[in-house]
Formats: sequence, structure tokens, C-alpha cells
Amino acid sequence: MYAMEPRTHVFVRSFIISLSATLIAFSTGAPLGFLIGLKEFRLKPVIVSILNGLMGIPTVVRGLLLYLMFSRYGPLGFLGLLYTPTAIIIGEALLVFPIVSSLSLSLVERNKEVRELIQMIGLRGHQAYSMLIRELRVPLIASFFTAFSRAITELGIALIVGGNIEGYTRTITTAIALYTSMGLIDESIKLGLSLLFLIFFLSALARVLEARYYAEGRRDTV
Amino acid sequence: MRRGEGIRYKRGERILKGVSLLIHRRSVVAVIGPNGSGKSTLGMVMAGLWRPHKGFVEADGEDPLGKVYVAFQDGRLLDLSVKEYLELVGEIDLLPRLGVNKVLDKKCKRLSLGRKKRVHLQAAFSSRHPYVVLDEPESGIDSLRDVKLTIEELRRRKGVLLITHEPSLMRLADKVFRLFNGKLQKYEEDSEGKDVIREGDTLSDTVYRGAVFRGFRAISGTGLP
Repeated sequence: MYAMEPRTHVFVRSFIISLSATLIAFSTGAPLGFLIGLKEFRLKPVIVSILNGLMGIPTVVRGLLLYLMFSRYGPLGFLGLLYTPTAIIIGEALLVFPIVSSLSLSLVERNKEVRELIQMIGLRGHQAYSMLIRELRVPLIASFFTAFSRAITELGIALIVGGNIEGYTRTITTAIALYTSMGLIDESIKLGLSLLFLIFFLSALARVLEARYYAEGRRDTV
Repeated sequence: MRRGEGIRYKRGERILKGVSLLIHRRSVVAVIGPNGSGKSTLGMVMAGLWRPHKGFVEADGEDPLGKVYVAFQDGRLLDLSVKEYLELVGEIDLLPRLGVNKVLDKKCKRLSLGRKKRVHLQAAFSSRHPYVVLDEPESGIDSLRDVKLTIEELRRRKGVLLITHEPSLMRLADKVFRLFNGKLQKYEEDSEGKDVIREGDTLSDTVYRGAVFRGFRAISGTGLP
């Protein structure tokens, strides 16, 4: 029988790709969300609805669009990124970017009290931002887990721009898709279950962190 | 001194409809009023945290942010130790009565509401802010006497806006105003201890008495919003 790539390799590769994508999206999306959340301007509702709308685009459509961009005669074809892990990282970063910005935006808006307190003390600019991030670190970490879960469970982008190349761009989800269609149900189930465990674990962790943060917050406002 | 004049603050409906208030340094001005009358709103506006729909607020001729310490009614504090918090807002100059020395190394978030409000009173006293808004300082604190003595201490160095329901705290104030229907009214007790409210008697006359104000004030226009 055909020798498959070991499961752990697929798992580790998926993990690295999705983690990189989440890190990129987080380091750009969270500051953007904070910025939008902190400022009041007329186009704010428009930007918020654009961010929300972006979240709704199906991953296969995103994959298709990126394929057109990265394919040899596409506008970014000269980069030679199609069917590389980098292409998946870019695609997944674009996928979770609006999620991260929306989450951090609503985080800032939900925690108006903290902002007022920081303003009242008289902290400005850089100092005020770092204090705000420090105060909101727990729910921020929770939103990181949420974004990572979304990235690692995504299929459309990894399949279309990654190409599901064994030993190179095969991820957990593309492997499951392939093995199932090949009739290797046993292997698919094993991968599927491990992915499920990972996601349950991360989402439970995120919920616990958030619940603890807001439970403390509620105690403040008896 | 600080003053607020003719501020209008709108959220849905207008809450403050032309309020003028001037608070000098080393004085205590109390504002009372029914629930929902806008007392806390007035405090937030005076501190520069909520922007008035009309009018302006200033402290010593500048933006009040960072010059007015607000002892929030809900006791909110930062996720720091009490010592770190006090150092962030000013210096550590403890009032023994408030008992904050016992919790200096504790995390603010771990304190009970009463202790948080004690930390706020302490911070109001030792912070670098020249003005203070005390929003119902008596709620959650077990000893009214501690609150009273702290207000007396505050009077010696700061301008205080005291928002309260407690009659015995009201008596500490140099002036008492009642916020009703979005306007400030002078509030006095006659010789028999009966409440006397003079309708329509706002502070504008006081506010315009001097030419240059060093103080905390808020002024609104008179036009329609």
C-alpha cells in the first residue's frame, strides 16, 4: 500500500502555518481594532460593517481569489507563491484579520470604563495604549485562540492555493479531504478527532479566560 | 477653583440642560438630586471624560483630563497592586484612617468594593490632580466618619465636587446644589432644618463675578442644541 506521510508531520505543519498566519493577523489586526474602537469618526459604522462583511466571505471564494492573484499570469504571479506554505499563510492571515480586528474593536468598546479610568489618571499616547493593552491582555489572548482555531480548521484556502502537496503544503484539513475521497476513512477519522480535540481545548481555554476576566469585571460594578 | 457653566450633555434625551458650576480650590461643592437626575453624568462631564454636547469644561484654564481625579462610584481600578496604582496617580501619602496601608501589596482587582472605594479616596487625596470628583463616596464604605474626615482633608488641598445622597456629607459642603430636571438649583436648609429650594437659581452669577478664573469650570452656550 501507498506509504502516507506521518500524521505528526501533517499536524506540526498545520500548526506552524496557522500560528504564523494568526501572528501576522494579530499584530496588524489588533492595533487596527484598538484604533477604530478608540476613535470616534463619521465613517466608523461603515468600517465596522465592512469588517463584519469580510468575515462572511466563504473560504473557497477567498481561495479562488488568491489563486487568481498568485497564478502564473496573475498580478502577483511573479512572486512564485502558488502551492507554497507562504501562500496558505497569507490566505489564512487575510481570513482571520477581520476576525481579530472586530474582536479587539468590540473589546475596546465593551471596556469603556477602563478607558475612562486611564484617561482620568492623565495617561496619554503610548503610555495610555500600553496600559490599555495590559488591562485587556486576558481577553486579547482569548481572541488570539479564537482566531487560531479559525485558521487551522479552514480548508478552502489551503486546498486551492496550497495544492495539498504531500510533505510540503498538506495540512490537517486538506489531508482529511484527500484521505476521505481515497477511501482511507480510518486515517481521516484519526486526523479529524485530533483536530476536534485541539479546537475544543482551545475554545474552552478561550472561554475560561474570558469568563474569568468578565467575572472580575462584574464584581467591580456591584 | 474650578467651575462648570451651562453644560449640556445629551444622551438620547438631554440630561443636563444648561448647568453652570464653579468649584474653587480648597472648597467642597455638593450636588444632590434624585436617581437618574444626571449627577454622575455631571461628574463625568466635569472631569472631561464625557464630552458635553454644548458648552465647555476647563480646569485652571486647561483640558480637565488628568487634572480632575474621579473616585468612581463603581470603584473601578486598574489591574495593578494598590501601591503601584497610588504611585501611578501621584505619591504615597497615606491617610491612616482609610486603612490603605494594610492592602498596599494587594491587587486592586482582588479587593472588596468597600476597600476599592477606600483606595479611591486615598488616591484622590494623594494624587497629583488638583481637583476631585467624589461620586457617592459613602456607598460601600462602612464608616461614614472615615469618609467625612477624608473630605475635610481633601478640602485643605483640593477643589472637590461631591456627589451624594447622604445628608451628613452634604453638610460638609461649602455650597450645595440640587440637580433637578437637568438644572442646578441652590439648596439650603432654613432655621428649622426644612429644605428650601430656590427654583431657577443657577450659578451663572457666581461664575461671572471674577474676570480670570483659576479653577475648574464648564460653560455652555445658550442657543438651542
